[in-house]
Amino acid sequence: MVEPGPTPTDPGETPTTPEDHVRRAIARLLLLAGVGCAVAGALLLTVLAPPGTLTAGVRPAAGSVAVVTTPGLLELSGPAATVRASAEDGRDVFVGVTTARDARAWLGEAARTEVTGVAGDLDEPLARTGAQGSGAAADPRAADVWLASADGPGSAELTWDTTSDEALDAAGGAVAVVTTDGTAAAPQQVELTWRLTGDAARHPVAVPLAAGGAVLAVLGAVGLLLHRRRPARGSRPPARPARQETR
Amino acid sequence: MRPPRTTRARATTPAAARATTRAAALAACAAVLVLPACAELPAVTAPAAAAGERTALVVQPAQAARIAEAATAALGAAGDPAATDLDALAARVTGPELDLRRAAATVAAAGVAPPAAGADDLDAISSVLPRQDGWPRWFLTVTEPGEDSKPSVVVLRSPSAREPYRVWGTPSLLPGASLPTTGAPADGAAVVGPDEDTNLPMSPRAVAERYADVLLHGDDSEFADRFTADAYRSSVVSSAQEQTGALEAAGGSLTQERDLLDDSVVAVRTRDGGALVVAGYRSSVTARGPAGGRPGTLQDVAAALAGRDGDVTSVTTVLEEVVVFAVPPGDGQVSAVAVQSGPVSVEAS
Repeated sequence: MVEPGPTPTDPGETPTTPEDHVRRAIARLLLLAGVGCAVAGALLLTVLAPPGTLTAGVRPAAGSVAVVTTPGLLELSGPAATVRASAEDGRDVFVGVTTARDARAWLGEAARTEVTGVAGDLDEPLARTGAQGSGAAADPRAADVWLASADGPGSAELTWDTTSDEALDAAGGAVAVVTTDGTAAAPQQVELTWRLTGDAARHPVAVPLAAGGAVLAVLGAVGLLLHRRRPARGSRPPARPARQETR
Repeated sequence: MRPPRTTRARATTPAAARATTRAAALAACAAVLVLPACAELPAVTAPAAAAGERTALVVQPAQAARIAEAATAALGAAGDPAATDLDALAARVTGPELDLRRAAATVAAAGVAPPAAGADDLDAISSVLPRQDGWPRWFLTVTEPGEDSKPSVVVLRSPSAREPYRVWGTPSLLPGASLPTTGAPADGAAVVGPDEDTNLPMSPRAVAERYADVLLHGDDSEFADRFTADAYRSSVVSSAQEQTGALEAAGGSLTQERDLLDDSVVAVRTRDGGALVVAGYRSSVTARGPAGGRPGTLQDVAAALAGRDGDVTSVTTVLEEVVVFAVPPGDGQVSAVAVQSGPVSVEAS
């Protein structure tokens, strides 16, 4: 019986060097970082994406007979802004959009709450407001200053397309006015909603993160393929025993 | 004995890989947790000032169409003069138009066919939208031909931001006349002040006052040649001459007065540099029979407005008129292009 002896080294195989280990470590790092970035980017684009709409609630100041938005607020984001208002006591609610110039003329010195912007963060936006004026306005339904309007018992909703218009800009831009009959207290629940677009609609680094992560992952995978670990000499499977011949 | 380098490398690589994995995982988690918080709220951007800082239109074209619809609805509800709710009509009608429709309602209530009223359907084929700040404001719409087969120029006015536009007058185009071209509705038209005569033969107020003089004095007016001949001028002058001749021949008399209605003169610049002027008048014509003469009778419409029809020796008819003028640039003749006229009251004794 012949004992199997050590198999001679394959003449075409180069031995594993320390540099190979470093390269493989770098490739692993690239792969892991790439996968991490790609996953992070994908999450930011999906489940962790900012909300699709932005809704800010407005509480009219005591004594206000109207809520009015500052010029430019309706164009905060997206192609349209929706104004919803409701009165707890079921009174008729009026929502109108007019030019800033005509809103000033219609309001005169009337007590109003002006919405000047939105603060906080995307998940919990807060309307910035200020109170001005004193006294009453007039029934808005009698006026012809409205570019669009909606009214109804207890609540009203109006969606305004915020397309830029030179004629509107010449009059100071479009603003929304919310009131009841112009003399009683303004509706207590007023909401402004925009559809988020641009940087507000998705995180600005989400796409670069996902794309960059994918590139890194591919580079890492390629690196690992090019520098595959070769089996160590001592770990080769034993050679098939030589056939013993008996004469 | 020092282990082979390959053996040492194999011993350290798993630790480095684990460290790398941990670092990458931590970085990814940190990015996922931190980056969403970096998304910012959009900021309010004030509308850019319009190029050239042009004065804004009194109403946007779509707004003008909606106002015309509301006025049409009010006028449509008052289609039958005998059943007109004058209070409801006053919500959308004012000035000479309201006075003329009140008179028509009075005449109809007496069982007499009233004079033709102005346009009821304000389906606009064009609008003239002045560029103007502040109030009072006005604008014009030109409607399809109505019952009289003539397009009407509907004058709408709003005294304040809290009050609606109301139909102030609906003069119809005179035969052969056409309105001067103004800017497209979306472009608007520059307002010409009542006393402004830049590049005009006379100011809008002078146009209105001098045309009134021409209507009173005919060709004897010193301003007769400053205006082109028109059908309304011809009919008013010839009618007055005939009545005057008849009354004077019988020993009676005919006297006329014509005054501009308050704040009735408005104007915009036309595309050729001239102006489109609107003016309103209240005129009174008093016919007196000869002293001691036989009392006469009134025609149906006058009798309905006067509330009597016989034993009349003196009659004063008050009319209201709305006239639209085309004023050329430079020094040409002014033309009356659209007119509305009718009696609003009659006093008889």
